[in-house]
Amino acid sequence: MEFPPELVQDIVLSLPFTDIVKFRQLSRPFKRFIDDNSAVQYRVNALAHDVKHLDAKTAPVVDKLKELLLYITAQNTLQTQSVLVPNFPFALPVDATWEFLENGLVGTRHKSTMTISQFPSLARGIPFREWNVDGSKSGGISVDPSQDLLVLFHRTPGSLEISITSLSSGGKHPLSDITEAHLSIEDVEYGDANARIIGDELVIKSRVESRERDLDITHIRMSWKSGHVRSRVTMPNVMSCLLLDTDYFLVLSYTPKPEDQRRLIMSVMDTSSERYPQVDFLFPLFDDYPDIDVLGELSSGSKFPLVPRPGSRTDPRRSSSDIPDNLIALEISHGSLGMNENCLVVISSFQLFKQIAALQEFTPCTQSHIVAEWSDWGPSSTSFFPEDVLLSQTFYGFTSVEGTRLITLEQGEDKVIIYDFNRFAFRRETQDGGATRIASRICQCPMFLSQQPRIVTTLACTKFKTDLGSSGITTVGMANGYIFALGPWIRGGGRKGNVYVL
Amino acid sequence: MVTVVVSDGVTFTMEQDVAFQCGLIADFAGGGGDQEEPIPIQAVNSTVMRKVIEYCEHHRNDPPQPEVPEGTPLERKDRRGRDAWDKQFIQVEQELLFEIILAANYLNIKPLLDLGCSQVAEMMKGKTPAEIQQMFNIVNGFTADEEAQNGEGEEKARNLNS
Repeated sequence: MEFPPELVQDIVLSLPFTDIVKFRQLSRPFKRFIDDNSAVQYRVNALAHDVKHLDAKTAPVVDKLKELLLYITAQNTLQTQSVLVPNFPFALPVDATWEFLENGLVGTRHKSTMTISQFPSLARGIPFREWNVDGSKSGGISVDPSQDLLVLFHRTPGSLEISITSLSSGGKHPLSDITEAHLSIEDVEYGDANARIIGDELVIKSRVESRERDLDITHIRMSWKSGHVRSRVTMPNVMSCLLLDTDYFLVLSYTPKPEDQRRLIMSVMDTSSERYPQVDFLFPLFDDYPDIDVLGELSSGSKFPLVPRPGSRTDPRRSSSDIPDNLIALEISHGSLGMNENCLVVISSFQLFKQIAALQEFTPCTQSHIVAEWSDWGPSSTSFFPEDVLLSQTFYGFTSVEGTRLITLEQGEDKVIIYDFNRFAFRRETQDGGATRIASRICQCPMFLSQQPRIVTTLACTKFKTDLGSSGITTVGMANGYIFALGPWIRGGGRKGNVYVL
Repeated sequence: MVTVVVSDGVTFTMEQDVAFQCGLIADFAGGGGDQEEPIPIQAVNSTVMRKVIEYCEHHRNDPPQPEVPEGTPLERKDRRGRDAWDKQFIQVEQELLFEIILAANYLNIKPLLDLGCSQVAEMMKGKTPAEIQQMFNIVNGFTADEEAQNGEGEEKARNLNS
């Protein structure tokens, strides 16, 4: 009997940490489930919060603390992600190296011992890091909490500068002897927030603005220890792309002919073979040519039930059961690059995209074959997928994805809004009205249906307002419950970038 | 009155306040009066549906529960307080327990879902990984190396606890 992930999550969350640690040891899938689960991480942080707000001398605090440490220690031993513990208040009675500071702490791995070291940047609004950027108006940030790394990009004429820093300042990165890496890639102008670090390899997609209005995307894999570039593939005419796995890209490109300008091509590209199926994708929502960007992946643990459209022939859950049902967030916007004036975020299921890849892999198919399959599931000329959620917003801002959350920064309002798609079920309203009344043929698939996602938190970003005005932030990222924002330039001609931790 | 028909063809008729504890049925029937056609519930069989209805009938007069933030541990949600009746009710065979959980999830009955999940958690508490693997018939698939690492973690855990 298969339990949906959100139920497993419910069960896990009602266990004490000692048992969560055991749960990790049950099987590989469970181990992965725990390690990837943002709700478990949330629980860890909540526990740390409890510890702080209880009287330190009482027994329950000591118990809670032990639980927490046990969890962190077990993770540490098993070489999984570090756990960020904000506002950790007092000395810990264990045989390890500990340091305490009032602002915040982060746990990291150090061979077999654990160090909790200072993470002073967690103090609200204090710039975490500053650096000088020559001639740059653009930058990017990517946070990889599982690797304890913060990756910063800044653009210089003709090349892209990359800094990689351990999130826990003061601690050496466990994978390497270095605490910081500085890399430079020639002939690339823009790195965005979609970098991934896999082992010692840094995988980035970077945008190259070459001819006229063509945008090429370069996919680069390099060792971040040595700076050695291992492979570099450039795809032409790309609007946006997302690294799905190590080897797969979801690519949105357009036809270069001017008369076909509104035709977007969606494809899954296997970078190892360079063969990939394509799907034509006519964009119905805007009269002129929109910017479309793949924001990222909303991770597993999301409750996005994939219910087949009635009458469709195949059920991807069965044909590819090992594929996680993550979601892809797409952003469609009007406005110039990097500054969106009118933005629509579309959330769509990962499986739909992977389905295309699977077809390529298992059947010798032609393009028309894929188009036929796709039309069972995917967009027609008038609509998106049935499971899609559209967040229609007008904002001057930026959007990023972490775990099950979608983070948007609305600069006009100086607000960060986080949408959480965890355990969120769709409900679709009927054409003729009532939000509650649901047509009975849809009821056969009750999870099909749609509703606005919940706003989990709205934070007022007063620091942005006071320090940067309302035009400085280029991007937001989120890790372990913290929101990072990057402001690349400061009024008055200064060329400094700041990373803020909210 | 609301009528449903489950996977093995059995029909159940119940009062609206009983039926509407199932989010699914409430959504289905909408705001309007009696449903003419029985509502098909393909994912649930009659044995499980009987248990579900038993639960809903017992709790028909409960006040609505406040929303709790996602990620709250079950023990803190305490949506309905767990009384002796609930504890007795959920003491069932493992197979049936799992089916009830899946049904509660499908039908969208949050308190019953919580009750079921915490019962499973209860069954796991204090047991070793090996015992849990046996109980739920889980194949671990770890390599010998990973097993050794697991052991190391446990040892550390014991040291911390002592």
